[in-house]
Amino acid sequence: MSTSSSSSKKIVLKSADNETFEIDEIVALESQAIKNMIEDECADNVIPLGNIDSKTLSKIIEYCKKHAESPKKDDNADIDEKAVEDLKSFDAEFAKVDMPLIQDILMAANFLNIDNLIGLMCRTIADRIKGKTPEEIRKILNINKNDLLSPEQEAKAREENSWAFD
Amino acid sequence: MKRSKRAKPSNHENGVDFISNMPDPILQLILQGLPTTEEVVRTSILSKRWRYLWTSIPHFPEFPDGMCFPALRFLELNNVVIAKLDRVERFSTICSLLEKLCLIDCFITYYKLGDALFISCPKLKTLRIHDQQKKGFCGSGISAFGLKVSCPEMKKVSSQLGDTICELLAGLAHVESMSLNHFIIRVKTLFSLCTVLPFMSFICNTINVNGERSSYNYMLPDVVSFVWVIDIDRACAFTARMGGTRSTRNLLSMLTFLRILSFRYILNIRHAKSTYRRLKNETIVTGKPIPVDHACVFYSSEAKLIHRFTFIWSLHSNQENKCCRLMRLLHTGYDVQIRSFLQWIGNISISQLLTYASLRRNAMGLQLAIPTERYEVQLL
Repeated sequence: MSTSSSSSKKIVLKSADNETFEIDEIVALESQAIKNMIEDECADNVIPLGNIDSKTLSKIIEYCKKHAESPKKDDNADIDEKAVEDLKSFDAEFAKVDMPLIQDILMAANFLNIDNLIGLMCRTIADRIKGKTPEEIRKILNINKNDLLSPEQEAKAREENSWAFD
Repeated sequence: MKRSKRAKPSNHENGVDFISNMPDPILQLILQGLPTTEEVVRTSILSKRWRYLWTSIPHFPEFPDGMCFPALRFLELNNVVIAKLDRVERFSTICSLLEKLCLIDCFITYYKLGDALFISCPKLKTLRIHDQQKKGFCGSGISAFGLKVSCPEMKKVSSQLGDTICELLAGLAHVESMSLNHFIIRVKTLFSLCTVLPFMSFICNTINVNGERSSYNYMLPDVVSFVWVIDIDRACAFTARMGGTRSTRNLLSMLTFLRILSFRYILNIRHAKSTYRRLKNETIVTGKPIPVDHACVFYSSEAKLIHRFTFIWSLHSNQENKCCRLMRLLHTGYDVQIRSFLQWIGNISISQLLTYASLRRNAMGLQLAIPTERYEVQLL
């Protein structure tokens, strides 16, 4: 993290597997949920994140650090084009992980309320399922067999929107 | 770091249908990441969880030509952002049997100048455009979109959108009810409304004429046959804000079908005077509460019925020819005045008359109801 923030307030997060992460407040603020906790002055002690494991959490912190460092869009009008590109390529690189981790990150991002990260993960999932057959998508998304439509229901769904299936 | 002390195995590894357990907004985001509308719609067969999810996403990548909902009769889009207004135009082909279309909180604040919502569904009977969250048009002024409607079977239009420019309502010959709130209506449009919609009940609040701001209402309620009622509230605010009566005059000169004109709260009579002179013969002008001294406003050389009105009134009352007096007495609700009024009405040569909204409200429990050719008074 940048040197200027070395004196800033630290926030300590604890993962489900009891690993602690000390991060700058500015990084933690990327999470709306933690931001609310800080504003409510509930973030002075360790913040336990009982449903996020350390692998996922370190990934998320990596993302938040990068995004906290980058200039925000509304900070000033003439944003550094290079910084935008840099962030884009970071995001692209960041998303190159396997589906289980994407899902874990998505769940954690949803819990921590990090909009950008939620969006990135959703776009990533969409990228992975686009152009795939329903059967392939079910496999990718690990859709529960018990939740499948009956053949009759599926036929009806196809018929309703036959223009999309042809 | 190694996950040596994992609290639980990964959802995925655990065989849990994790994605499907995510809340709808997340799944909608995923759907929105798909490149084509066909792909979005095809997710309907993935599982029960996904069956109808696609119907709730805010916008589709596009409306492909082949996309159609041929059996759809009722469509309500609530909080669906319509970023490009021309998409709605395609409803006429996508949903050719559509009878009712509700667009609620669908519009963003700013559209390009000249953008218009063009609705031309051939079977559409009811159109409702509302902005309940008030996030859209309020204060957005001229940048708001125009509304163009051309639906031959349209029966009912209602909208609460603010500052929407009503450009053209063509082919609405069967509209029975139209309710618009805070609309900018161009004089040209109002004129075409008058010619096109002889049987319409038309209620507009705070219409801007010619794009200029005003703060009063035109209401054209209870239009029966070819009789038109225009009821203008707080005309003083109008003249004041319009900086004169030019616009009023322009408006009224366009209303060639006008038969009854009701003003309320007219204070600036001098300005209004020249305005009324434009009215057609047989136009009935009423007003309240008008300063007695200004009653001459109704002596319009062209409006014969006004003369007759005042003349008859003076026969009954032996008073000065000041029609405003009649209205004042009407508002007191005395029987004799009501009778006088009725006798006067009996002399009107218009074959059909209308339920006169302001009288109904103000005549102290008396209601004028005109079912067919004659007028009757009902005691409420």
